[in-house]
Amino acid sequence: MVKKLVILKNITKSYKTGKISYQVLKGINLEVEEEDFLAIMGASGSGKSTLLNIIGLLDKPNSGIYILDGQEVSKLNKKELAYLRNRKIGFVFQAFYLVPWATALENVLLPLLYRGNITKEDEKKAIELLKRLGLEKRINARPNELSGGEQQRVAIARALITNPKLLLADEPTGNLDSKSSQEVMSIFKELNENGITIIMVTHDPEIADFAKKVKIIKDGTFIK
Amino acid sequence: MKTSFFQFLKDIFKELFSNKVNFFFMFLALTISLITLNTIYSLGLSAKKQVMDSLASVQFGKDAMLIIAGGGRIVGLTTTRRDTLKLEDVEEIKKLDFVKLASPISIGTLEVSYKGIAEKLRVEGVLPVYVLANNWYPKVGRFINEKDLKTKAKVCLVGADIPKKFNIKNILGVKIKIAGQYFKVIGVLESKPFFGHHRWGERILIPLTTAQRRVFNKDYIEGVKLLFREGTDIKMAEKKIRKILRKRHKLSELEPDDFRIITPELAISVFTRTMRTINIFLLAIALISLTISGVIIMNLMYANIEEKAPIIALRIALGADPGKIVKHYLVMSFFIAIISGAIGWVLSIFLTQIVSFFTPLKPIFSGKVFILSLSFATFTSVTFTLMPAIRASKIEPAILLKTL
Repeated sequence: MVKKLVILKNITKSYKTGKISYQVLKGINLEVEEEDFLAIMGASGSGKSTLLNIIGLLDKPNSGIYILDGQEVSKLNKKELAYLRNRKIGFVFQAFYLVPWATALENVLLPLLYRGNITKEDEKKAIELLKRLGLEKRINARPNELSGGEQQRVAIARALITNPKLLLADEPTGNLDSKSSQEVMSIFKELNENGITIIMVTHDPEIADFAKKVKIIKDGTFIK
Repeated sequence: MKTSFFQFLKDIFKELFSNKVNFFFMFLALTISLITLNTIYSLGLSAKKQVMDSLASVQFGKDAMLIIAGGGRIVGLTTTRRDTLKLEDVEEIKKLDFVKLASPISIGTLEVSYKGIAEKLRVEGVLPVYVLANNWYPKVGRFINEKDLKTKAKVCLVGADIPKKFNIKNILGVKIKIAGQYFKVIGVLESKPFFGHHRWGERILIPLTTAQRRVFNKDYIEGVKLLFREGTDIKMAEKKIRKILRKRHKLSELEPDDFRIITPELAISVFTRTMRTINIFLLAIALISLTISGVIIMNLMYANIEEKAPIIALRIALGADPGKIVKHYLVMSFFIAIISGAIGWVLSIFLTQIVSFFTPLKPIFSGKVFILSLSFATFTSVTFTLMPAIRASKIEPAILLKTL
């Protein structure tokens, strides 16, 4: 039997701006199995980024139950959430989000800095990852010396350095040209084939085609 | 091998130098305050040492004491009789086993003249033991001897500045007029640093017997300087001497002392009182300046955190808990303090050397001053970074990530 990695039950989330409250998620139910590749599609403001934030433990729901890898996580404190993020989740963002003063290698090693120790083996592993992603000549380059596609590949290596069970990608090809987009999506597909569960938010149907499953969110609920 | 600590420091250093302008102003604010603090402190130490050296040069070290006639002084004015301290009192004090020597003195300010030049100068009637008591020897000529005392000789020794004052090239043997009487100059005293109200170089010494019988016409003395044997308990000595003098002067329990006992500590406190007031004032300015630099650091840190908010959010997303974010910025502020402290220290040395070039103050720098300034720098920097660091740790990664 395939294990369910993410279980969301009746998740709601609202934000307050002044006296006005906006309900962004209206009772979301979702189950993602291990080794799934799910694309969440939706228009701007549909709630897809908010949902990704909750799945990524970057935000807490107002109500509902969230079980990640068999553990109820909706009531954990910030420190516990940070611990889980570091060990179970890898992030890839639309704007790559690399530390500008750090080299590609240092960027990849950044999540391990918060584990307490970086070993020589970790460094070797980071170099291997960068090589695997075609960046063997860019190991000591800074982000401003890299192309968009290269930056996103560094970000993917950073997401993979902790061996996460779940890879979350927020519009991962949003800032890339079509060639780089294809390259990044090929990497995602390969990672998924190697057993990593991926949840990706996108508004581009062509990119969503790389996923095994697609869900469409509209006004805070799944419509498909 | 664990490399995370070095990675952590490297990460902080790189972030620190990523905004050089911001860092420069943080460093500048702290450095200026530290230069002020270091300079004031080292010059204060220097002033104190100068007083101590001056006291030591006149044999007023820890084993010395001065007894002055007249007690209960208010704003320098005596409120008791001043004619009760006698040579007999000195003889009685000399009997105490811890007293090494006693040098009584009779003082007056008299008109001294030579070939039409007249000056009001301090004239002291002294015994031969005076040279030992004050570590003050004749540069040329000889000191007063027992024969001078016996014969109440009209001889004198003059301070090093006197010959110049009266335009006398070779003063030995010259007769100068003191209070209308001619005195033969038998010696010129060596120079002493300026200390107290009267310049050492402008004093004139005459035999005590001559002073009492022929010049001042009084049987009392103005004071006596005592030197004790090494290791004497000054407090005990003061107590015993007070008891003897009060008994001899027949003072009732309710009456105040008609003399004053001055210990080196008291002398230092009197001479450094003004210096201390100025120092406190300057120190207050330095501390205010440190506080201002702290506020500047706080504001620049807030600006830094505002600017780096996405990076902080990323760190949080990648697994940094609030404690690690606070630690990150506190360690950063510690580095700012260390760098500012070290540079501030070097610049302070440079500045005080300039000050010492134009003033008699010789700055004293010690490890203590360095530790003090580093502690102040660290305290200011870390304290004022705490609030921005806490704010940084509260950045919500979710809200920031949505803006990407």
